[in-house]
Amino acid sequence: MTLLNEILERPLDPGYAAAAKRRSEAGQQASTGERSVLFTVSLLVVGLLVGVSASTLRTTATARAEGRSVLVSQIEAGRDARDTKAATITALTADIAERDALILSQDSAKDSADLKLYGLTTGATAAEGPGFVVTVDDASSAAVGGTNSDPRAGTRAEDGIVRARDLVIIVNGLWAAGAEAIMINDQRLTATSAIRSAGQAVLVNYRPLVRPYTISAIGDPAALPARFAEGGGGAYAATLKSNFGIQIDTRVATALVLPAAPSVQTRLATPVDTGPTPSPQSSPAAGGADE
Amino acid sequence: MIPALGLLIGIVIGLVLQPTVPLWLQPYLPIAVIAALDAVFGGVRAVLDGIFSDKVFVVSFLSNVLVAALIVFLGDKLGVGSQMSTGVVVVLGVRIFSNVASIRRHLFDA
Repeated sequence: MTLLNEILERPLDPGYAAAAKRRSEAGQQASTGERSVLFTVSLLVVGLLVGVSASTLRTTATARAEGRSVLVSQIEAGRDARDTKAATITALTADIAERDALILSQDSAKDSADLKLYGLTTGATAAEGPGFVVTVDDASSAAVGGTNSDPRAGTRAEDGIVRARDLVIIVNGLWAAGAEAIMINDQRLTATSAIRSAGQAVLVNYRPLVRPYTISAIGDPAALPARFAEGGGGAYAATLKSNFGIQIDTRVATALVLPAAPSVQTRLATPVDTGPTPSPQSSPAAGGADE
Repeated sequence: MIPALGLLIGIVIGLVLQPTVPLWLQPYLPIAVIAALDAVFGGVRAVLDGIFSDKVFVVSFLSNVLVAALIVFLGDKLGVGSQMSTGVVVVLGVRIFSNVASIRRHLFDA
């Protein structure tokens, strides 16, 4: 309390009073006057201090913004480099597959045909053919905060956002309806593809997808749409559309081109040697079937 | 009037030249500004009280800035830098307020 009283009751430096007393005792004026060079110079220094502080502390904020933009550009450069390398890998994989096919075709026609089939079913080679396209997008209300959601019904704006789970069920419905190869946006589904969510983003093959999600499936354009609509996937899609306003469009495509998956690799799994190769006519691997 | 012009010119020079302050000195700038303001308001009050002394002003200004910087420096070394800064700002802020109140009484008789 003594300290606070000292501050509150004697805010002025006692030095001023002491100096004034000394001067008046010496017969001078109590005040030296404020028009002294020393005072002007020191006030100049004070002003300089204030100005320098203002400019320095303000540039600190802009320096922070600069650092941030540098980081952002580094992230973007890294992303570009990754995409370039992924494209190179895809091209090289296709090259390898082509050379493999060439070598095998010189050896035996059956092995070559087998390789093509395996490549198609595993997603290691690009595939083309007629098929069916399902486009899924967030409800139009989801972005603006659920204008058409009824507060009493307890529906929230997030309900209109497409989840990884929704895509998994639709993809499973497509496989069940007889799809032979599927990709979401540009990501080909393979035996090891997972469709999962990381926060708000949906990841396929560890790549974040940008909505709208276009699911392209190669299959019989006459039978696939009907069987999809009748099955669980179609029913689920209809529920999403009617209950949550999620936008789902379907169309039949006469020619779809599905790129090869970036990498189809196993590190630990090795084939079990069971004599003659079983027929590869079984249904393709169910990518993202981890529901 | 002339000293006030000096203050203005100093501010303008600092803003226009924008000299680069070394990074280790930057944490002390806000504290130094507060300490300098305290000295300035104390000086103005002394002028109005009729007991102003330029020597006392310069000494109080320099010692204010140095002691404030020293306290913050020590606090940084001890890991209580922000608390020390707060303490310095509170003490000097209280002084600035009461000096300004006294100046107001002198100028407006209120």
